[in-house]
Amino acid sequence: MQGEALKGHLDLLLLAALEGRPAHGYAVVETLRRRSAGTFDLPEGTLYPALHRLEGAGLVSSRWTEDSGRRRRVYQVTAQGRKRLAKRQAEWQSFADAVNGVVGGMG
Amino acid sequence: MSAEIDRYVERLTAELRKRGAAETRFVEETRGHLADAVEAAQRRGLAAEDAEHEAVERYGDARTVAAHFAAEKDRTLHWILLGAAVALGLAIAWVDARPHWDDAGITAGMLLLSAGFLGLMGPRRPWLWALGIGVWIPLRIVVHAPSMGNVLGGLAILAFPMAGAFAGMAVRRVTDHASSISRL
Repeated sequence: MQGEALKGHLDLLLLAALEGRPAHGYAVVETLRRRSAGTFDLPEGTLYPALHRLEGAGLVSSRWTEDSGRRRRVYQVTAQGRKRLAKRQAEWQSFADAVNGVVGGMG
Repeated sequence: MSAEIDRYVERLTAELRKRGAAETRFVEETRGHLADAVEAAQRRGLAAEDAEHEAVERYGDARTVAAHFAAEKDRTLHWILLGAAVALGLAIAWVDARPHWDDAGITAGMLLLSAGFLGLMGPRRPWLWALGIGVWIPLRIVVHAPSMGNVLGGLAILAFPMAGAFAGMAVRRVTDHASSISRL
C-alpha cells in the first residue's frame, strides 16, 4: 500500500503495533507487515519520524537497550498513548462501520 | 557493517545535514534497523549481498527518508521556536521602551544573542526567527513617529537579529557537519 494512503492512519497503526509490548523500529515494521498480511509495506525509514513525533507528543516513550552488542531504541506506549489509542480505535470502528454500511449495500 | 549499509548511512547523514536535521539518534536507529533487516533476510535464505540490498531498498531512498524526517522534525520545532521568537522580541521591545532605558548597545546585544540562539536551535528558517524577534522595536518606532528616517532606522535595527540568527544557523551547520564526520 502506498505511504500516502497510510498517512492519516499511521499514528493509530503504530500505537496499535506497540500496544502489546515494547518493541524496536524493525519489530514494529514486521508487526505491521505481518498483521496486515503484507499490505502495509511502507518505506521503513519513514517510520522513525512518526515514532519520534509520537514520543514528542508523550504518546510513546523510548530507551536504548543493548542485546548481543547491538544497541536498539525500544519504544513503548505510555498511559496517555493508551488513552489516545482507545479513542482512535473507537473512531476508526465507527468510521469503518459507516463505510461498510454504505459500500456493503451497493449493488 | 557492510559497505552498502555504510554507504547508505553516509548518504542519509549527508541528506539530513543538507536539511539541518542531522540527528545522531536517528542515524543510529537506521544502522540498527538495517542490521536487523539484513539478519532477517539472511534467515529467509538470502545471500549477504542480496540481504543488504533488500534492507536498503526497503528502508527507502535516502533523500526521501531525510526529507520526511526533516519535515516531521521541523513541524513541531517550528511553532515552538516561532512562539519563543515572538515572546523574546516582545520582551526586548518592552525593556527598550522603558522611559529610563538608554542603552542601545545592550538592546542590540539581546537581539543578536537571542536570535543567534534560535538560529542554532532551528537552522532552517533563521530569517523567520530574526523577524519574530526583531520586528517589534522598529514597529513601535515607526507607529509612534512615521518617517522615512525611522523606517530606515528600523531596517538597521533588524540587521542585528538577522546577523545573530544566520550566525546561529552557520554554527549549527558546522557542528552538525563535524559530529556526522566524527561518527563515520
